[in-house]
Amino acid sequence: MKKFFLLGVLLLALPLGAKEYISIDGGHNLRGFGEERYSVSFAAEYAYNRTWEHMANVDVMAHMPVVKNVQLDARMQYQSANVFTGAVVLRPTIDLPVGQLFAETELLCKAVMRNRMSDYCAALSVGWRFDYVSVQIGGFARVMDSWDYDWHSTDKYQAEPFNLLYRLEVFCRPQTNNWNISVGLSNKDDWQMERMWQPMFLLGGRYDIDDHWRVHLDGQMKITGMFHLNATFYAAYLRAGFTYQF
Amino acid sequence: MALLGLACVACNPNYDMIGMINGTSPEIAQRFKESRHFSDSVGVVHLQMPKNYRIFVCTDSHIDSTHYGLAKFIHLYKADTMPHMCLYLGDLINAQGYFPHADSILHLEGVMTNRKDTIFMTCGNHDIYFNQWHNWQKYYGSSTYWFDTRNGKDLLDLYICLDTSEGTLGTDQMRWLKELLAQKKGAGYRHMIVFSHTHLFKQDNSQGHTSNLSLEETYELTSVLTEAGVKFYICGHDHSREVTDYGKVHYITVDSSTDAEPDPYYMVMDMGEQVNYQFISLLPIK
Repeated sequence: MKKFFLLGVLLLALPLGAKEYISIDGGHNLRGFGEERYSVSFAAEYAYNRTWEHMANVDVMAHMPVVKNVQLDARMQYQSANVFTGAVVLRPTIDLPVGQLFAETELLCKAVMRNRMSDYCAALSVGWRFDYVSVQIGGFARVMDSWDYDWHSTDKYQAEPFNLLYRLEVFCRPQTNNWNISVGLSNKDDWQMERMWQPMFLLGGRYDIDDHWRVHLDGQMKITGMFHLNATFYAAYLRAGFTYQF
Repeated sequence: MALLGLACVACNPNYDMIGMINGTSPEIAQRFKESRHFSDSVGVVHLQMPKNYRIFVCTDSHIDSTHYGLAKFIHLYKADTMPHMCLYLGDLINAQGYFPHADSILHLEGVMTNRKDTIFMTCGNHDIYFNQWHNWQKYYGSSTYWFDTRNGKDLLDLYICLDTSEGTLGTDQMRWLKELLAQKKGAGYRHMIVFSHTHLFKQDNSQGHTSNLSLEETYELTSVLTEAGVKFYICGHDHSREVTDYGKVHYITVDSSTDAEPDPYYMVMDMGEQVNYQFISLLPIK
C-alpha cells in the first residue's frame, strides 16, 4: 500500500519538471531564490493575538551558503510585546532528478522579557521540495525556563520532549519564476514552533525586482482549539519586507 | 489510512466537525460576557468552612448513554463525612442532548439559581459542541467566576474558575483574571487555586490529539499565576494524569472519569495549612 502511494506521488510529481527547478545561477532554489549566494532580509510586521493584542515587530534574516549544498540561516526578531527571538538553521541538501531533499537542524530561542522566561526549541526535520510543493516533517523538543528561580529548583524548567513538526507549502508558479504565491499549513514559522495540534495557515507572495532585490508580503493566521473541535481565531501576522542578494 | 480515519471521525455523531473550522457555540468573548452577567446577578459565594476541609475533583465524564463513573463519584462525594465541596472540570457530557441525563446524576437543579451549590462547574469543549453553550448555561449559569472559603470572618482559600473550552481565555477573560488576582494578591488568602478545563503543558502525547492553550497564552498565564502566588492550577481535558511544577505553581491534570476509560480516577484534596492530595480509582466502576 505504502509503495503504491509513494509511486503515485512520484508519478504525479514528475510532470512538474526538474528543468525549471535549476535557477539561473546554477543553484537550486529555496522559495524561489538561488541558494548559492548570500542574502539579507528585513521585514516589518504587524501582529495581533488575543493575549498580547496589537504588536509591531521587526525581522532580520541572513542566508549564508557555507559550502555547496550546505546553508546556514540566522534570524532575529523583536516584538513590541517585549519578546526577542533568535534562530539558527543548518540545512544540508541533496539534489535529486526531481527536486531536492533537505534536512534542517534548527535552534530557536525566545526571550519573553514581559513574562521573565525563555523558551528554547531544538528541531530536526527532513523535507522534499520541488517546483510547486515543499513538504517538511520532523520533531522538536522544548524547554521553558523561568528566570526567577535557581537552576536547581524543580519548578524552574518545563520540558516538552517531543512534538511533531510539519510544514506543507504549495506554490502557484515554478520556483525560478520572478514572482510566486504560496499557501501553506504548518505548526512552525521562522519565529515560533507551536504544539503539533496548533496549526498555522500561511499565505505568501514574492516579486523579484532584479537579480539582487526581492520584495515579499506574507500573511499568517493561528487558530486555537481546532482539535478540540471548537476552533476560534487566535492570532494574525502580516509582514512586508525585502531581500538583498549579494 | 489517515483519510479513512478522518472519514470515520467525521461520520461519528459525537464529533462536531464544523467546530474544527469554526466553533458552533458563541465564542469566548460572548461566553465570558454572559458568564459575568450571571455571576454579577447572583453575587459572589463565600462558603463557610472549617479550617480543614476536603475538595473532591472530577472531570471528563463524557456522559452519553451510561453514567457509572460519575454516579459512583457522586455517591462517594455525598457519603464523605468531612466538610467538603466539589470541583467539576468540564466535559460533563460527550455530545449533544445529554445534559438532562448528566444533570440527573449531579442533582443540581434548583440550587443553581442562587449558586449556593457545593459543586462548582466549568465547561469543557464537549459541553459546548453543537451550539450547546446555552444549554450548559441554563443548567450551570457561569463558566467564569470566583468564590472563596471562610472560617467565620477569616479568609481561607480563593478559587477562580476559567473558561478554556475553546483553547483560549480570550482578551477579556485574561484581563479580568489579571485584575482579580491583583486585587486579591494581598488579601490574606491561605491558598489560591485556579481551575479550568484545558491543560497548559504538553509533556507527552498521552491522549493523542488534545490541544492545549497557544504558546503566547501559556507564557502569559503561567507568569500571571506565579506573580500572584497561585498555588494550584487544576484541569482535565487530557484524560491522563500529569503533575508538574513551574514557577512555584503546582499544575495538576486530573484523569478522566469516563466509563470508556479502563482506569478512571478522581482526585481528593485535603485543604488545611498544608494541602495534601491523592488520586482515587473509580474501579470497579459498576
